[in-house]
Amino acid sequence: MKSVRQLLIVDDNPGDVTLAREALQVCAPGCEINSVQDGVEALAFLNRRDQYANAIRPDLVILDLNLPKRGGLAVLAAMKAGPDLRRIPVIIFSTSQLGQDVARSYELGANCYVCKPGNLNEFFSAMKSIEQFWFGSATLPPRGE
Amino acid sequence: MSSAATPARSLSDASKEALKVLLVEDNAADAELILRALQRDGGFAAGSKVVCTPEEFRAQLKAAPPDAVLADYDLGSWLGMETLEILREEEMEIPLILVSGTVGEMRAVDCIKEGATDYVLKDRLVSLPAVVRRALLEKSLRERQKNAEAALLQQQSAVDQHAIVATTDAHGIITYVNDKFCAISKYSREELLGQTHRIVNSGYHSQEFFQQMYNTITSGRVWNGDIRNRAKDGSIYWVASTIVPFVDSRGKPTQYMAIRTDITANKRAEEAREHLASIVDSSDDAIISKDANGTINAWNRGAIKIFGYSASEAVGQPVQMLIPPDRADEETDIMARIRRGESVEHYETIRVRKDSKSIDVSVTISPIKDSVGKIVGASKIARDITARKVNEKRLAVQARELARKIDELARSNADLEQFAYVASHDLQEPLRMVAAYTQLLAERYKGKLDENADKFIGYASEGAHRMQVLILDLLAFSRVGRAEAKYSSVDCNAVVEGLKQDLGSAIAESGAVLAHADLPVIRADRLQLTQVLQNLTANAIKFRGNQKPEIFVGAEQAGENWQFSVKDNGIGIAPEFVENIFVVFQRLHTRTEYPGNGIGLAICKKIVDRNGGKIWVESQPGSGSTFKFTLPVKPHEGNGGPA
Repeated sequence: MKSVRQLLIVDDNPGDVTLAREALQVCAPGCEINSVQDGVEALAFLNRRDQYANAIRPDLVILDLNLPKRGGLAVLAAMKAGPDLRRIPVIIFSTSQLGQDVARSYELGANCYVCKPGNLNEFFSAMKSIEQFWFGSATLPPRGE
Repeated sequence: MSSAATPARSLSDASKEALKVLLVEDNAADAELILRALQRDGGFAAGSKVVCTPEEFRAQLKAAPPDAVLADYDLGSWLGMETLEILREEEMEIPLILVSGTVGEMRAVDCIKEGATDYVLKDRLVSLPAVVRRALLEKSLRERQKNAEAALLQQQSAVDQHAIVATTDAHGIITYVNDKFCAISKYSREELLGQTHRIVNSGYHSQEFFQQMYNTITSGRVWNGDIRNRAKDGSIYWVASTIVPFVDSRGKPTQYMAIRTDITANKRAEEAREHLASIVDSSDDAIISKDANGTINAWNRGAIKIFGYSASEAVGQPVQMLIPPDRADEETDIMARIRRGESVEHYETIRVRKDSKSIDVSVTISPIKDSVGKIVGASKIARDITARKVNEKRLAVQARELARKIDELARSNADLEQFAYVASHDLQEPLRMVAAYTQLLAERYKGKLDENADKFIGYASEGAHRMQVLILDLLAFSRVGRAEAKYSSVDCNAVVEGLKQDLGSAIAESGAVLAHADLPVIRADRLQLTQVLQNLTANAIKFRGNQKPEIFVGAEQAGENWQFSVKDNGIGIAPEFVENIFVVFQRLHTRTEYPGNGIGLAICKKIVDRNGGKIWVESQPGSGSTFKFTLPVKPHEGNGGPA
């Protein structure tokens, strides 16, 4: 029996988080979604600090770049610097189409870069693709002990 | 000289007159008598020769020309008239003295009429020496007179060679003119003789001038002066004249001789000098000269105007009075250059006026040389450029201001593009929310609310979508200004062929035919060129009429540019709109007629502009359009970065 997939969405826009939840509700009803709104919170969640002491380690992180307090690239860099968190696949999900953002993300170890589509249907299908690939096709690293 | 060695002989020679005589005498006794008369009684040291025949006479005459010939003259003898004839034939002017008996006296008188010098009766030989002496004296007088006449003629001819000569009688009637007079006056001798000098009067001189001349010469004095005359052909000539009256024993002039020299060239030069001087004087520029010590010695009206000193105030003063103290060195440098023979041209400096005001001047200073090339001073032309300098300063300020504004404009342009980019980028975020949620609303609640709600949601959703497209277009437009042009060799044929794929669906849907000429390989940014041709071609398909679109792409070199053309058979454009269509977001049609935001041509124009080209359209409604644009054959590579 497949265990429940854990997904962390880091995005300061509740509208996007809601859209992502809407999309996944349809295509991946068994997935558990957590969300935080800035980079500091994201790292606290991942390191199970403060109010996130009991947080569950995510299987996949969907990370926006334009975040308050600590930006997405800083969060990504911090994750890839730690021996434990570096194994968690990170999908950069941003409206930025700047080549330098894309390049920097991959340099810092992002697993994939997806532009946020402006159109609802495209947004839904992008989320669906992510879910299908990462929770379907791909084999994720084993949960750390 | 050894005169002391031979005093006696010299004395005896000196005491006797040397005389060479040729005796024509057939009677030896008579010859002896005649010689004796000369030597003993006459005191002549006479060398003699006696001849008897005409042949002997002629030969002896040539061999040793004598001082005198003495010929026996007797009736019926050849010796007489024939001797005279032979002397004439030989053109020898030797006194011939006939010695005759009483019988021949009458004939001898005839001979004298014919040219013999004198005669002596044989029985009166004692008078022979006196007769000979008189004959010799007459001969010598005759020769002297002849020499004097020849010298006079030569003098006359020498004067004629040099001068214009005329003589008039006491009434001023011309009695003689030389060739030079004829040559300069262009009248013939016949035309001049019998006239007065009024014939060459040019009307230039006053009545007083001629009156003064007339008074001078009629009173027997010499007159000198320059006269301006008119030749027969109307041309003017100047002569320096000397008129000499020839007076009679009572001091009254009987004739006048005028000797003149042509000074027309000098007068012309003088006139030119005066003309030049008047030009110099009337010049607005200060034209002054200074000697080698820097003392001013000429000062024109322009100098008075510019520097404020009158000529009498300036001349004799050191030129330093015009030079501000802090520029005193300048004059030293300038004079050093002048002494080396160099000029100083258009040297801009500052000088001081009489009223102590400083003025900007441009000076040109050149050495003045004397006739042997020695530098004796300098001429100085100074122009007041104060007004120009003020103007230049104003222009410089304006230029700086302009440069600053251009810089500002460039910066604000760049800011604007940055702003457009950032704004459109940041606008996308909230707009994405609006678009996504209106769409979600529509999907989730369609038919669950009332009809109006569906309609309203539809409008909101469509508006959001259109705004998204607008923002994307704006982003694309602003990106044209930001992207750096990358030049390479671009085969335009390949670019157009590529369009057939890029526009594949539009071509297929419309049935368009895209053809092209044999296009060149040019130096360009491939992406930018592709975008221009793609936008133009897409428009040609989009704005088609009822017939199948036929599009033809051509290119030819026009001077330093490639000129591209994209010709279609579409709906065409009315002339009043051909300018507007290149402005961003300008549309000629409603969205229902032709979709789009009016960004395509604006992007084309921006790309072409940034590459230093031009874009325009030639079109008539209903008969298709031809869009033309140019790109430089040699683009300014590396200059196409973000503005």
